[in-house]
Amino acid sequence: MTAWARALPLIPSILAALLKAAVTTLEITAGALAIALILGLVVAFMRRSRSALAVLAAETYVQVFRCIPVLTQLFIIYFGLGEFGLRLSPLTAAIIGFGLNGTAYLAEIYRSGIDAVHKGQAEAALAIGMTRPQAMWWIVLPQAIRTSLPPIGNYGIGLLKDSSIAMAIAAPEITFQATAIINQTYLSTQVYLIMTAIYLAMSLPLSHAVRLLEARTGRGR
Amino acid sequence: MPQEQLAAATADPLVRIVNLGKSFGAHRVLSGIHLDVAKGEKVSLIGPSGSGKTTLLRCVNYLEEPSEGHVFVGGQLMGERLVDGAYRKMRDKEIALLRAQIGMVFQSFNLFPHLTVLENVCIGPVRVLRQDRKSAEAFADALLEKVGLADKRKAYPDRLSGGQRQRVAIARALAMRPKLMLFDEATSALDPELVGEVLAVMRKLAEDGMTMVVVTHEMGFAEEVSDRVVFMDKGEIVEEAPPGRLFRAPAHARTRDFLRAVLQKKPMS
Repeated sequence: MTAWARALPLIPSILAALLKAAVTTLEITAGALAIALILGLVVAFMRRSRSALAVLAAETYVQVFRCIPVLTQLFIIYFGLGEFGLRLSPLTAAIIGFGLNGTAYLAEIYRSGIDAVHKGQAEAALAIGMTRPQAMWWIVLPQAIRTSLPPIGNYGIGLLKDSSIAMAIAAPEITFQATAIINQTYLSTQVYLIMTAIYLAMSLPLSHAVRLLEARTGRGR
Repeated sequence: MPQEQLAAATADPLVRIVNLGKSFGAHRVLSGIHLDVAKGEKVSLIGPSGSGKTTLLRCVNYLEEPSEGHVFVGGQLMGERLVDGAYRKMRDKEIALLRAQIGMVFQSFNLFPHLTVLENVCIGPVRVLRQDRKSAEAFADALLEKVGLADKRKAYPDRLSGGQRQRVAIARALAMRPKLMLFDEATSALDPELVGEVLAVMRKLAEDGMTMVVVTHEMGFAEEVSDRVVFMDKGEIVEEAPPGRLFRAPAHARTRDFLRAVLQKKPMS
């Protein structure tokens, strides 16, 4: 019996297991992205703050997290913190790890977005009596986020794929699950093909959405 | 403005600039500027580029922090407070409060591209003055009517011509009900055929009695609308006089040279 013939009856259960794992992949992606979207903005603001200490802290954060492989960060959070009695589930550790890593990238994306807003915008806001924080919030940031959306979307797609790294800390996402199934069934080609199809089904719509966003950001400028 | 009225107003000027100086690093942009502007008065600042006109204007609403001297608007010291005989810089919030009373129109319009025309005009009253949106919109509509753009209220700035954008910018400044309007080369970035519509709005504003300080290259407008024209060169005020006198009988050689250069260039541009 060929592997394909053997695989056929197993496909529904393989597909079900991998789809369940896909939910975990989406959880990691969405959770990490949410952390990065918020903390990234905080770090971006810190970099522009008048406090030298805040600027230094923010720059150090960005440099450190960009210069360490995300796998190393996951190991430190999952195994390293465990040594100090902080035992996180693989899923939680993955969300935090990717989230903290993504914070560094998003901080950079926000920063270049804010820098790209013409200086005259903040000045016009100040001239109608806004305070600096008001000018940032109502005038500069909406424009900065608009230009940041395409790179944020691209980062999100990257994150969806990179979340497979979380298999190294046994987070039950797709790649981890696929490997486990292959170990039981030896149906590597078949399982990888299904896995590929699932990744594509998730990232293609995302990438299409990003393209739409890119087209839209040209509007109103 | 009649002479006796002007004299009475000057006793208590709306704007008083005292010994103002400004340097950017080693580069000296303004020095020893003294200038009073009476309530209701229209003052034009003219002079070659780099003479410090724009910087002077930006010091009035404290977008630029003076290196020396002081600016008073409506008797209020701009950006500083006198505490125990020493000048201290105001907090961001206090400066913002003072700026809210001064309208400014920029050369490059600086409309907010992510907001509609109506939102551009409303955002100051709503966010700064905390007016309710409905009354802010009603007033904004009246202002848009006044600048001839009532039909563009829902448009985004990128759909407007330069002249229309600048008229929205004027409405945006007026929405704050300012007691003083600053114009920084409001028509310099416009195509020649669009200059007229903006000057017309400015002229109307002048007729309504608004106090205006106008940095301009439009000598015709300066002559027609101003009560006083101030000629600046190399960061100093060279001379100031009513337009009739300054344009026809300038007292200084530098003023004469400048006017000759500008008026000769005119037919070619």
